[in-house]
Amino acid sequence: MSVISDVSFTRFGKRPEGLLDLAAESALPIVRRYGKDIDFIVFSNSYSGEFNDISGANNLISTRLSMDEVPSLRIDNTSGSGGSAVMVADSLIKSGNAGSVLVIGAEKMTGYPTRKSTRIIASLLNSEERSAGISLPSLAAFMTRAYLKEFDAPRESVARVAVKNHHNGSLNPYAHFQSEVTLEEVMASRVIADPLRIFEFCPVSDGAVSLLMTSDENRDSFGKDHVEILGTGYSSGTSSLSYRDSLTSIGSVRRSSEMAFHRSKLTPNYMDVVELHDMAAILEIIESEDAGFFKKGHGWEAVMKGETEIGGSRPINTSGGLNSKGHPIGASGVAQAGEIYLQITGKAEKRQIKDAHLGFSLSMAGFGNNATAIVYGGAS
Amino acid sequence: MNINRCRNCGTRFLVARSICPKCGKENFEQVPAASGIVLESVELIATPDPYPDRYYLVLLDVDDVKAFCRSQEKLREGSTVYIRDDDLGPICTRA
Repeated sequence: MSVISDVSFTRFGKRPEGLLDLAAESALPIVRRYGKDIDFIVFSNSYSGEFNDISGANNLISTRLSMDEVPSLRIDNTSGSGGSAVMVADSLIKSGNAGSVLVIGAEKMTGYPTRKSTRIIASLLNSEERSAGISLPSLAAFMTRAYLKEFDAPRESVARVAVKNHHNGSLNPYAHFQSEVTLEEVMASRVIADPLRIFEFCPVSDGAVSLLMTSDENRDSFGKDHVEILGTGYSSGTSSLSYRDSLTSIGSVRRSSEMAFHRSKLTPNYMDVVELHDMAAILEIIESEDAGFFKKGHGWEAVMKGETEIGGSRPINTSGGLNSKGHPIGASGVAQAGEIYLQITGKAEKRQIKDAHLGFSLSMAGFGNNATAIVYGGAS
Repeated sequence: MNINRCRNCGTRFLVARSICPKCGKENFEQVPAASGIVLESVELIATPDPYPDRYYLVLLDVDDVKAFCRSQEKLREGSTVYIRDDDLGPICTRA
């Protein structure tokens, strides 16, 4: 078994620093404490070539940290890079190939016009579909229309996810957006892809987060607050959107979640705190169903009843989610693990869930092209 | 717009593959698609470079294959449209 023994965030948002500066800012507190014991670096980052004109970024960051001889690799799995990085670090540790792994998730995305960054992100689509002018937000709009129609859900239920996550983000000192929005403000904000509005999408963000992961046997060398990786699950779905059966269910999310719960010998009902990949607000609802927290078609009801709020029976995205915390792509999945760590170790301050012992995160790539689910536990 | 068709089992799909997802054979032909039926459309305001500032993205049924198309006009669900390619990609217009 592997454990997470430390976490360090930068503030997410529009940052003047470069990619390596942000990565180093998040890693330094951990490297100062445990640098000599780290024998592998996993760098989660997807767009250093496109946004920063950098390749081989894992070796550049290891040199920046004067860990020149420590082996490293870069995990590029688009929006799902962070979950994959935690899964790879877990595998390195369990296989004995590494003892203690520094996982860094970082992305530097601001500085380009939105149309240019939208084009860069859309490069994950197959050319036969991309050439129609698809953006990732437009896929969320198709999904929203289909969901509202199929399950007779009120339009307001999707907007309420954004209201909830902005509230949670207002409690998170690392979040990009740290102010609340009202339902009226969400519904009056600018349309991006009809019917979805700008507050219902994540912002373009810069930011970084680092984790120290080690083996259960070594945990005592790395402080006293540890969170165990109880199970990981991963699955892919077709990257051809036109080949998918459903617009309202994501196969990779269903399968990865089932695998993670099966391996951890736990069920969704046991989870005290949950982080989902809400690039668009509708995704939180659909993933909450596909991961098994609510029956298909009923996730919107849980949002309307307040069940997914901090203080509700099934808190989701206490960090503010991608929606409010921001979505520096390579950092997001690592930040999910970081939020669960803070919650289970009782360090989540104003957004702390009482008696949080078990957690779940879902990191998703390319609008469901693949997903990594992780079940976490313990706090000792 | 072309639809890919497996010469062995007849399975059709939009995105090119080297192996048929149904029968596993590797022999395909491309069938030109000239029309389709509108399943759903979404107006996109924040568009990617180098596309126009605002357009509709249309999900089409092209002989039981789903495909995406761009349109400058709102198209009614269930209506038949013509498909052609411009410099950027497939674009559809009212039939």
